[in-house]
Amino acid sequence: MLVLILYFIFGFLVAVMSMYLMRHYVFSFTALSKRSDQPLYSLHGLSFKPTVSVLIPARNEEAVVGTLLHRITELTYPKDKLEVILINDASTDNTGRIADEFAKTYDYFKAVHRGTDIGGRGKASALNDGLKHATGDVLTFFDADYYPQVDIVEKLTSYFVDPEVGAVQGRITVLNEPTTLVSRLVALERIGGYRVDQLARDSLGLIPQCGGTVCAVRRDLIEYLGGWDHEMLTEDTDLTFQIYEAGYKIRYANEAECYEEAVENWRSYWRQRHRWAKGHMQCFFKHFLAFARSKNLRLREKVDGLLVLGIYFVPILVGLSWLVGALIFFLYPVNWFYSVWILLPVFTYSSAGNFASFFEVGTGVYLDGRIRVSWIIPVLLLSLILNVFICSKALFDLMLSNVTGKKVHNWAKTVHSGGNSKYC
Amino acid sequence: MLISIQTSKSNAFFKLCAGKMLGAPRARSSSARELLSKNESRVYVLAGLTVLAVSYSILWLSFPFFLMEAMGRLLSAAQVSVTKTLGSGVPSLVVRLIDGRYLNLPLTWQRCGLVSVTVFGLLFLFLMYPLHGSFWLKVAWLELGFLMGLGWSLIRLSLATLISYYLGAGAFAVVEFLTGPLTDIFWVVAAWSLVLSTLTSRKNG
Repeated sequence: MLVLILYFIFGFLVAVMSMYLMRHYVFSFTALSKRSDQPLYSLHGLSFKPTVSVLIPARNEEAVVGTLLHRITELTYPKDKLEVILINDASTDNTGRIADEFAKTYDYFKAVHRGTDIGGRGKASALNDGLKHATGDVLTFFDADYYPQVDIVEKLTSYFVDPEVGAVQGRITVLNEPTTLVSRLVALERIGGYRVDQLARDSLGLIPQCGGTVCAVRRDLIEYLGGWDHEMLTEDTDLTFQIYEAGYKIRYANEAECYEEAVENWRSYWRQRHRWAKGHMQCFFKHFLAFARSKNLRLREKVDGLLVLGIYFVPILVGLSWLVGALIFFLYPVNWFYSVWILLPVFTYSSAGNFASFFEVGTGVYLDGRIRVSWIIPVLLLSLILNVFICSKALFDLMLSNVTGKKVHNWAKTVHSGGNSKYC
Repeated sequence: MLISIQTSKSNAFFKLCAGKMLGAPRARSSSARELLSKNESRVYVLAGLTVLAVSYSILWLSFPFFLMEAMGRLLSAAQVSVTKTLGSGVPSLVVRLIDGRYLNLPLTWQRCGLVSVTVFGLLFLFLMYPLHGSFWLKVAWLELGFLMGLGWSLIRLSLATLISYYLGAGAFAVVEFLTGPLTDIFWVVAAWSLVLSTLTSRKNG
C-alpha cells in the first residue's frame, strides 16, 4: 500500500514538473524561431504620446536615487507630457532632500514625503500615495536603483494605442553583472526570464507579467482596480492578475530596456526571493479560483496563468520529489524506476533551476549574442537548491501567519549600494 | 527622423555600458535571423535525428559491454577481484568485496548513463541543430558530449564499486544515489552550455 502511495505521489510530481518543462521548452523554441514583430515606438505609424506620470517609490535610497532622477531628466519624452513623482517612503537618510532638490530645479518633478506614521509599509502602500498625486493618463514605475534608456517611455507607452492593453512591461537587464557570482546568476535569470520567457508569452498571446518596475499601466485602470493591494508582498503579480481578470491584457516590450542593480550576496538574495516567494504564494491563494473561472480569458491563457501562479511552489515540489524518490530508490528499488529517477533532475533543473530552465537561459544568452556567460549556466543549480529552502520557508511563514492571524507581513527591503553608478 | 535619433542615442548608451562592463550584452538586432531558414532547419533536424539514432543504436548495443570491460580492467588494476558475466544477456560484474561477500552489478542501460545521454541528444536535436553553425561541427559536439557522458558513467560506477568494495554492498546504492542523477545532469548542462557558446561565437562572426 505504502509503495503505491509513494508511486502515486512521485508520478504526480513528475507530471507537474513535466508540464513546466514543456512550457519552458515551447517558450525557448518560440523565442528562437519567431521573428520579433514588436512595434517600436508606435503602432500603425501613429505618434501616440499620452501624458505620463513616472512614479518612483524610494526608502533610504540615497546611494542610487540621484542617479535615477538625473537620468529621468535626460528622457526624450516631451517634458510637457511628463510628470515625475518621487515618493519618499519615510526615509531616514538623504533621499527626501535629494527629491526636494530635483523638485525645485525641474518643474515637472514632485516630491511626496510619507511620515514615519504611515511610511515603511511596503511598496504598494507608497505607490498608492503616489497615485493620489498622479495626473498622467499612463503611470510608469521605476525602482530607485534602476537606470532606464532615454527613450523608454516612448517604447512603453506606444502599446497603449490598443485599447485592450492595460499594462506594458519592459525588459530588465542587470548592470552590475560582473560584480559577484550572485549578480552573475541573477543576470542569467533575468536573461531567461525576460528575453525568452516574457517575450515568448507575449508572442504566443499568453500571460506576460508586470514586473513591478519598468512597467506602465493605464491610470484609469488602476484607479478602477482600487490601487495596489498593500497586503500583498508582490504587488506586481497581484496587479498582473487583476488586470487580466478585468479583461485587459499586458504586453511585453523587449526593446524597452532598463538596467538594475542586482543583489550581490546570498543573504540579500535570500531576503529578496523569500519576499517574492511569499508574495507570489499570497497571490496564488487570492487569484487561483477567480482566474480559473474568469470569463475574460481563453483556456491557454488560464493554463499559463495558473502555471505562473504556482511557480514558487515548484521548488518545494522539487524537494518533495527528491525525498519521495529517495524513499522509493532505497526501499523499493526497481530498474524502470532508475530511469525515471535519473530524469527527475532534468525536470527539476529545467522547471525550477531559476524559474527559467537552463535551456531557456541558454537560448536568451544565444539571442543576446553572449558567449562566456553561458559557461556559468551549470552553476544555476546552486540557486535551485537554495530556492527549495527559500520557498519552503516562505510557505511555512505564510501558513503560520494565517494560523496566527497576523496578516501584516514585513516588507524586507533590498539594500542598494549604488555600485551601478560606475557603469552609468 | 525622431526614431532614428532616439535609436542611435539608445545604442550609444548601450555601447557605453557594454564597453565598461565585462561580458556585457552586445547590441542586438531584432531582425537578425536567430535560426536557419525553415527548410535548412528541417534538413538539419532530420539529419541530426539520423545521426542521433545511429549513434544511440551503437551505444545501446556496445556501451554496456565496453563498460564491463573497462570497469573490469580499472578495478583489476586497483587489485579488486572482478568476474565478468553475461547473466540473461545483460553484461554484469561480480565483485568480491573486502569482507568476502559478493556484489552483483548488472550493467543495464539505465545504469550505464544512456538515459542522460538520450536527454542530451534530444536537447541537442531541437535546440541546437536549428541554430546557426556548421552541421558537422554540431555532430562533432554531439559525439563529444556522448563521450563525456559515457566517460562520466565509467568514473561514477567505478567509484561506487570501489567504495562498496571497502564499505560493503549497501554503500553502492548510497553512492549511486548521491552521484547518479545530480552529477549526470551536471555534465549535460555543462556540455550543452559549451556547445552553445561555440555556436554563439559563430553567430557573432
